[in-house]
Amino acid sequence: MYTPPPLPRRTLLRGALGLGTAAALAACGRDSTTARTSGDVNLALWTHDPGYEAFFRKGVPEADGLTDFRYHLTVTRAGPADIVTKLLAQAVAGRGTPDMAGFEIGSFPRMLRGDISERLLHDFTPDIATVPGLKEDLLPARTAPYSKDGRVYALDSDTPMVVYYYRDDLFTEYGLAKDTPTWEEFAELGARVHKDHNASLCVVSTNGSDTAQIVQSFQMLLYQRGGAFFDADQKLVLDSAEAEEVLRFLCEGLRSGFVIDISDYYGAAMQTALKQGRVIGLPMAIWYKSYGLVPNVPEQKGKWRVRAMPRFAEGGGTTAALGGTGFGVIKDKANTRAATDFLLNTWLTHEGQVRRFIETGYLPTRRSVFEDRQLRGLKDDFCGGQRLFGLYRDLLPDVPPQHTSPDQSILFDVLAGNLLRAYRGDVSPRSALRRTAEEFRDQAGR
Amino acid sequence: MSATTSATSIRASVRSSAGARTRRGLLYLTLVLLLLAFLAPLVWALSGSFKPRGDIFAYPPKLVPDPFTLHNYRALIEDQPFARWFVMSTVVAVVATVVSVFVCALAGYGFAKFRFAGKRLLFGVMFSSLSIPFAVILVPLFVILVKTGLGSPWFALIVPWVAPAFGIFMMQQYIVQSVPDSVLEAARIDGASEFGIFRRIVLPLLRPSLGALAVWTFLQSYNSFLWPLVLVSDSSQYTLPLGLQTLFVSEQRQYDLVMAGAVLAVLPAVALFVLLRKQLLEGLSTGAVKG
Amino acid sequence: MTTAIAGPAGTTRERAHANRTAPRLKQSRAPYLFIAPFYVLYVLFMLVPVLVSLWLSLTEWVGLGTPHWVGLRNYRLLATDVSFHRALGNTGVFVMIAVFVVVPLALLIAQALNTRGLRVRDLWRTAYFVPIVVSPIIVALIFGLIFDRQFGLLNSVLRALFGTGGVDWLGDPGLAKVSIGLVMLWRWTGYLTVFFLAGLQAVPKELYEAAALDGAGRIRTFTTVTLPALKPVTAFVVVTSFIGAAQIFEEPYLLTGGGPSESTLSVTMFIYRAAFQRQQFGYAAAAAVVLFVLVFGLSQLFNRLLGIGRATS
Repeated sequence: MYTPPPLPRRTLLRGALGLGTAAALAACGRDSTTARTSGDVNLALWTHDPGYEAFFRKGVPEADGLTDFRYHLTVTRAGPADIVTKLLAQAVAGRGTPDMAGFEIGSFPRMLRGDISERLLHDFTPDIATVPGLKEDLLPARTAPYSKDGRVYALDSDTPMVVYYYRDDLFTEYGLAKDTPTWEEFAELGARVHKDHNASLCVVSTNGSDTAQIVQSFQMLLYQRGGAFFDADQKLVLDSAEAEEVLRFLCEGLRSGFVIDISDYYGAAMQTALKQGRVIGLPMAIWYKSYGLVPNVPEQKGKWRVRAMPRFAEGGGTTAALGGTGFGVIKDKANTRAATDFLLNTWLTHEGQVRRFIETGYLPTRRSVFEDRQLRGLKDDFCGGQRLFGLYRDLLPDVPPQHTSPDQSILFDVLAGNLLRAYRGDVSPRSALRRTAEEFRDQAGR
Repeated sequence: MSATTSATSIRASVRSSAGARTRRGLLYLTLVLLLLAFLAPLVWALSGSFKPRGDIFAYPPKLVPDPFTLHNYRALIEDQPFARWFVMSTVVAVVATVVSVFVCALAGYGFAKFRFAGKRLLFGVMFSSLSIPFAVILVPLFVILVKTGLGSPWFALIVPWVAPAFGIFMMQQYIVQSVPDSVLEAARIDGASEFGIFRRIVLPLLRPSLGALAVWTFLQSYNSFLWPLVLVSDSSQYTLPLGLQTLFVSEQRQYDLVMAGAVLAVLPAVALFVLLRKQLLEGLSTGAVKG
Repeated sequence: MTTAIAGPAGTTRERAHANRTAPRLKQSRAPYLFIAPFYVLYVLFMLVPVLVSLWLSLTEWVGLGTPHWVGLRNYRLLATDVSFHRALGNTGVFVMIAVFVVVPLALLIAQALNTRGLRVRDLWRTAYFVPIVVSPIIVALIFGLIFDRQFGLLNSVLRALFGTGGVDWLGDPGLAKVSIGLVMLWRWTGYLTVFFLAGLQAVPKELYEAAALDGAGRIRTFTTVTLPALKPVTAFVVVTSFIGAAQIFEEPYLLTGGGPSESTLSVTMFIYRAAFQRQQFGYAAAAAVVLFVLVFGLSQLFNRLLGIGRATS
């Protein structure tokens, strides 16, 4: 499984990081904490996902070899939103912050409020700049969500592309084409499947307790179509023709049965719908296989396939991005340098990114790793032995950048409510979006 | 013989036994229906805790797990620090309960049976603290505790909460209702000290309400989530709700383990309730006799 | 010794009166010592944080760094914030449910459980009590499943009985409130029953005997003996239920997230959302101060109405 890393890259990274250490030392000189530069170091890591914990633990020998440190990890697990809450609380109290924390992409915007990120998080830009070629190799689409004023505050876990999952066996049984090129044709197909087999080809979430989930169903297609929530200047650009088209598409799909509303992508309702064959296909991020399908319907192993999403006839791309977790390092601590070195030497090395995909299913965030031969040869058992990596590589150029705003949670709150209204037919897609924009402007000003 | 026993026996003798039987039948029917409504969701959770994950949400739902598995419990206890969460929560809640019940009874008695300068104001201050939303004090309280070096979970999960206005108010209400002045007067004439009167006469009279308060305090502490979440940064000191939460975040919903954890987590609270049920039911008359 | 609490002299008002007429000046230190532990803790862990929050409500603060003084701006914004008004309205509905549905039902159940010669009394009491000890995460999980529009148990039952299901329990703004109310009912009723039962235990049996001798019926005994005797307990349960419901958080937070379209957003959720999702700590503090003032004012009113003030003066 694990191939020895090519030597030149390793030495390059090491040498470059050495320079970074010197710079960091100079910066930390005035601080009361003495920065550790080598030897045994115990890193406190906070994350919500045991998968990341396992990845970093396994990465310790690798990091030990590439740096001057000998690492030990103490891991604390908490919910994605709780990590930010706890971190801020500890920072205010001036004690017990972690050295390294994983920020789920939906929670990270809180760090962008005021000057929180500048005060608290280490800026990776100089570290990235010192490794030749790294800056160009890192996908801008995955540094954008964790950047502010050109500074990168966290490094993403994934390039979480959105693909189309479908039940190969049922598509064959129902005589459905597996390469329908456009969403519009696909929707017609879906209406027929619903009438004949009471099955749906697309899902929207209506999970009330999780507004982000409601938004996600819409977000995937919106970004694929070329729309967005915010532009690079954190300005709201939601209220667009693309957004209206996508929302109308979903609403009409709900009427025809092409789309089904499910309360929770990961829970009971989805499991039931999958087991009963009520949902036989859906657009979702690549990680959905490990979180939604494998744990809920293990018995359907081998029956699922992945393809690129159909396109919108009017324009847009072939994929979107959904989710991700950025790992950041807390600045001005004794372990800041050690943690930065650790993260860069596990998370960003070629072999680290290969290992990450193999162990956790998260796609590389460096362009060059998508050319890795080992990854391209991998077969996926759950998807009937499909070689998925080639597909991901082909989709890569289409991954749209994602810009956030400190007010993102406000947008999600008002958008979720208006999406549900539109789904139920209480308001038109047009006015749902307009109301969202109005309510957002009203609340974001507070 | 309890208070109601004699009352209803007299009433029963006046009424025809046939009517009483119908009424009793209706009563039991209502109680059973209520029982179903209250317990059905929990029975489902109990049965789910013995099912493999893929079966938990099977449709139509199956009551009896088939296949039956102990895997969820084993995984919870062997692979997760469940025992530690459990001990942490239980110890904190028990200590908080014991101290809190005592402090509340003290203050409740002070308010119920004494006249003193500033009483109205002091009571108002105490009572109004009931209506302070916890969200208001959360952040300042955390900072104060940590900055003064009192941020240890063993201190901060317990001490700030041992004198809840709710408990004092409750004790005050019960004491007004159930501790007669004449008993106190008699004791004073006998030369008992004020604290002695409280300990030997008032506390025994308060048994049922002390039980109710103990249950309340225990649950407050045992189920509290937001405060431990902000306070406890070391996962080796996680309480049960925090621990269960880590099994249930974002896309990683380990329903199977959470179900098993929920079933186990209910046990101490139910045990406390069953233990205290005698207290809760014990008539006041017996207390008075002892006093 | 049962005579100690016997007789009609045992009503609240008269005892309170007896209190007033029995001054004990020489023991004047004792009551202060009894209540002292509370006030020490109160000042340290309640009053100081509240004052800090009061100050925060006059600032803009993201949760880190220095708060900026903005005067009354947060309060002015609240006055025009539609979400906040919605939260106040929703919270009012939850309070009504708590006070006028949950509390009376708890009293009725307590009365039923207090029936003479009731079999397996412990079983009923324990069973009704259990919901409150269940971790809120599980409550959300269970009720999410029950209320699900597509596959929920409730809709399955409705479909089996009446042929129509598909009720959007959590998705329809009106029904979502009802669903939250049902969960409140499920969680809190059995628990409040415990308090009423403790109260019923304390009702002197002589009062019942006297009523029976007067030939009072079941309902009249309940209204003339049980209810008046339970007044302090009832007052206590009503006021605390009111305060609890006014700060309701877990049920809507876990089950509906305050949605759909903020139809179940409570004030405490609003505060939580502002502070911990939007990093607007100053704004959150201002909302909390408003909630405090409202709850405080209304509970004072309750106290007057229910005579709690009289019992304590």
